[in-house]
Amino acid sequence: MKDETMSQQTAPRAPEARRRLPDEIGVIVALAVMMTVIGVARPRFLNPLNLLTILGHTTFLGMLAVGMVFLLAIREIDLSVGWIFNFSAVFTALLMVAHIDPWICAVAGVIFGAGLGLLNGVLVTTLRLPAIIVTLGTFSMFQGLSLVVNNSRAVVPPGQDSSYFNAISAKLFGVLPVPAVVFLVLAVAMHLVLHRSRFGYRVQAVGSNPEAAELAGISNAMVRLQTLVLMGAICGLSGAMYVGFRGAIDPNEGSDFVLMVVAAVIIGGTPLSGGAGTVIGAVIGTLIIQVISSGLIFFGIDATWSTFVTGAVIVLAVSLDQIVKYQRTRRARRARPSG
Amino acid sequence: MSSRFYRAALMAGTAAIVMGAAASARAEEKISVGFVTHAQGNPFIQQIVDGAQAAADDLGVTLTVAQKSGGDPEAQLRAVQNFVSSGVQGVATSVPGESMAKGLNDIIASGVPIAQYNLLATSVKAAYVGEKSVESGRILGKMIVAKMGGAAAKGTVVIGNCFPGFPVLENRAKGVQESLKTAPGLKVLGPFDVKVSAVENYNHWEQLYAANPDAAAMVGLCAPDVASLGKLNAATGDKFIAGGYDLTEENLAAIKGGHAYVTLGQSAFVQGYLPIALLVDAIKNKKPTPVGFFNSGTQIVTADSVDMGNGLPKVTYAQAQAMASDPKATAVYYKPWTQSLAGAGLMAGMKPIAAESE
Repeated sequence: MKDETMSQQTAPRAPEARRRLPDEIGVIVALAVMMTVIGVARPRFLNPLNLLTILGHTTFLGMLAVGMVFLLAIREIDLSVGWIFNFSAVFTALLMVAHIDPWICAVAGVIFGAGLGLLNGVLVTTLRLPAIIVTLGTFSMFQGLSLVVNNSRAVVPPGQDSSYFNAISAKLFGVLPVPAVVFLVLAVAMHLVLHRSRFGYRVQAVGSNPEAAELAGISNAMVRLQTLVLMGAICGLSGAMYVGFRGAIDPNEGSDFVLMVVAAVIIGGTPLSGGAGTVIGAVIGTLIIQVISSGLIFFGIDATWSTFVTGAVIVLAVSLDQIVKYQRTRRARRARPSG
Repeated sequence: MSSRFYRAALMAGTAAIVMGAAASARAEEKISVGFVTHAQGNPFIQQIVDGAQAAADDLGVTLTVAQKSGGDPEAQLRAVQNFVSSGVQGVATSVPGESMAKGLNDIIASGVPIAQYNLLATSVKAAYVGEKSVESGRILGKMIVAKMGGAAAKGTVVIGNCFPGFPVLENRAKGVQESLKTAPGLKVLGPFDVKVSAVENYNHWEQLYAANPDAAAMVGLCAPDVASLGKLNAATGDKFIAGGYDLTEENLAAIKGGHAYVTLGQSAFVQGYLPIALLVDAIKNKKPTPVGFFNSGTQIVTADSVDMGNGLPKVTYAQAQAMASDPKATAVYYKPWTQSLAGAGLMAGMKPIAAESE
């Protein structure tokens, strides 16, 4: 499985490399097909305002998915992301309740999220345990602490006419929600970090072959720590923006984010075996999930069928992606000079 | 390349069949409304949905239901927004969190009426249909105290909340605690988080009993509690008084079996029916739903008596059990009540939102 995935990721550059399609073409086609199917049957779905609404829906989960790409790339999963998001949002909102400037609160929320990520990272590296095990515990720790500090009630910051709330709730050109813009900017930045920075190369090296990476002088522990801190900071950013956008944070918000986030990343084409990742794929994966959710409502699908249909369409989307990848690999092999 | 596109087309076709096959037919000329729930596969929520469907049938509107699990406000708000984008004329939703308020108020301001049911955010500018949560807690607490011997009652009472943080549940807890205070000899523990899924709920109650084997009463605030407590009581020799909420089949069976004492209903049928009736009225009159509280009524069921609330005729225990699993029989039973909503009757019971927590 891993070898196959790696061969897909490192397919030899054929003479046709200049017109090579992106790795994410499979999920992009899957998304386009879904949107076409829904749009043909329900033209209102393709209304640009609705499409922008769907993009807005992806924002908060999508940000977490972007961070999760880095973790899957080093063969780790952080189960506590939903509660880091929640706890950071609660922390941000409580600072606002204390009448601290909302912009400072938002920055503090991001730092707080990074701090929770750091705690995960320190536990993972010092205990030499997989992140999935450590975050199974911190999942409940963060949830519990969040409930303690918010007294199991929603935190509603005052002064929602301040510049922070106005800026986060605003729509660029009157249609594009600011959080969606931040999400897209974050995705582009993280794409560049993963594929164009030393840190990104280290992440892929550690995920691809940790022993070889260690021999090459890359500290596995440091990369894992940095990646978990990055994940925490992104959760903090998402949480701080959520408070600005929705004007409140509820005690249980984020509780079931993790499954959706991991699903989006995997649908997007990031292999569970590590060594590679695609931020663009994760964005498309998040969009696929939201398009399915929206499509179910546009088709008026009965609630009792909707769960099955969601799963079936996800399987179809992933199948389509795999077929496209298989075709690409086969073509690349054919194009490879024999001998 | 062509092979890729053939496969893509094949997948597209299959996706269309999967989604299209499950799609319900829509009559464009009919009013269509969306209904969003905060739980999936929950018998009590299904009774609410059945009530909503009965209203849709009676009023000749198309109802589409979206069920979200886990009481996730963000997921529910997205579902409401998707309904609005799809062109429905109104949406009824439970509101499990304040973070939905801003988004819902934006929708109301855009001219699409919203109705809240079962769980509310007081800052949403829309009608709310639900129980008087603090008052129902008081009723439950009062019945437990009476069963334990009145003001002279002594012993430990354990309270469980399946969803700490939900305002309606917190209000119920407040009401229960208020009534328990009328017996100074009672030691009240909790509310403890007892989780909402049936398996987890039972496990948590079992652990609470293991930690407090001398508990004289255990009181839950959510639908799965009475069934869990009944099962626990049956397994441990019926040593404590069990009380809780909702008239689900399992809860009624626990009461009938003598393993639980009381369960309070909050008229699930009314909580489904009335929001749809209010939405249809608002759509026809091109205005938002009124900002007010509509009391769905409290039902009180013990092994000896069944009070269905809302001035409805008395039923036997067997009839109550039959209705819990038969939406058609429930709709027939509620006919006198649904007919009372005609004309001015619809708005007759409206109170200020603050009355919900009085």
